[in-house]
Amino acid sequence: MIELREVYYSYDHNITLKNISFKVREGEKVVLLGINGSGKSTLLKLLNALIFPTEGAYYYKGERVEEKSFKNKDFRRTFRREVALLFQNPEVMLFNPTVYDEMAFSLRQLGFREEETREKVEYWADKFGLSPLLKSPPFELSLGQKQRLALACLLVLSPKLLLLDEPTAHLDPKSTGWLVDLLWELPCTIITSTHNLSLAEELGDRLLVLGQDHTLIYDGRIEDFLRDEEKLLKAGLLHRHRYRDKGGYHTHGF
Amino acid sequence: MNKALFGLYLFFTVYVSSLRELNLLLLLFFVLFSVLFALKRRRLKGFFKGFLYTALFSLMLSLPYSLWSSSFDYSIMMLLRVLNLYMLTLMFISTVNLYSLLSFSKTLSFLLVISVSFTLAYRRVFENFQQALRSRSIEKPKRQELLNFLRRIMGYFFERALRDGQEVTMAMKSRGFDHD
Repeated sequence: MIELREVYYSYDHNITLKNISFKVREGEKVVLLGINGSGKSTLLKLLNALIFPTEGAYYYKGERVEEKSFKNKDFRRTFRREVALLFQNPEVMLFNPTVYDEMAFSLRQLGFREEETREKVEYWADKFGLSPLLKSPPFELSLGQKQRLALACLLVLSPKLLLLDEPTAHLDPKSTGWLVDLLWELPCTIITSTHNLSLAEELGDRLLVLGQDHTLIYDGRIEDFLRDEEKLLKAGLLHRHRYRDKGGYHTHGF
Repeated sequence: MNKALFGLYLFFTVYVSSLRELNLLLLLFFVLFSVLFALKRRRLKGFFKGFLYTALFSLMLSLPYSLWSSSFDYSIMMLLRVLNLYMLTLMFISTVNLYSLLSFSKTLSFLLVISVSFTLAYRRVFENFQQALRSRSIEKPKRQELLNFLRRIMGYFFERALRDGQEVTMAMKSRGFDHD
């Protein structure tokens, strides 16, 4: 479904992605792991074609994705409909006067009739526990509710590729569990970024790890990576500290 | 060195602000423009964008007066003055280390650090807002949708600036800046 070939990305003379190559097949649930600043958000933005590789190439369904591709109206329409990104800060995604308008935004752009729009919005609002809030302004919601709303706004379009940037960052443990179950129910391809080791196994079956040097240092099964202490240390996902009472060293992840 | 340059900058700021002759302003404009170009290009990132916005803002304020008084000399003079000051300031901040310049005052250097970090953080959020709109827009947004977007951005930054302001005030108080 997507392929990255030797992709580099730099911003303000700083390299944030270095020599990244991988393929993702349709229906795969991929977890993107890395410490803060390793380039996870940048990679997701690149996959959503909000930024473009400085070097290398990105292909979506066999077509090269570059700035000039978006001058083609059909390509832009198809890509924006099929590929959706949940931002790390959900607040930046919400700008409509009510929760209902927010969820209806993309459907209205696609020219859906109001009854169809209402039907879809009500279905997803119910699934996300947002039904009582449909008339409220999004900025009045709690951060967890905003996170759920932002995700609901993407799912009303039934995207083919869903990119999630730290989707559990603002959720309480109960909502996190609910989200994990929901993600497995969705038929689309999902790439979820996180720096939470304990959650990685729950969010997908394949793992991509970005190292502190912004390169892809692992692509494979999650379980194998989580058992490899050396790789975990290299990725900066483990830390060591002295036992307060015994004096020896103790290593663990986040 | 930094202090001498700062003194020179202040002197030229006052001098340019008091200049009225168009010929002199124009000459200064070309001199500053050439000097800026002689500096490394990397230091002048965003120069033209800033140049354009400064010119537009200046014209927006001075043109109504010129139209009303039927004399465009005033607008041209204001435009040249403002652009000269813009280039002078740019030249100054690209050659002087502001942090060490203000290091004589703890309060001023803290204010500078806070302003710079806020500006950078807000710029990142603003870029995210723009990208989120682009990501969610299948078609080009309509006028009403753009208005909703702008209204939300303004509301967000206003609310955030208030919240951050309160937090910074408390943080500064806890670090000993108790001047109120």
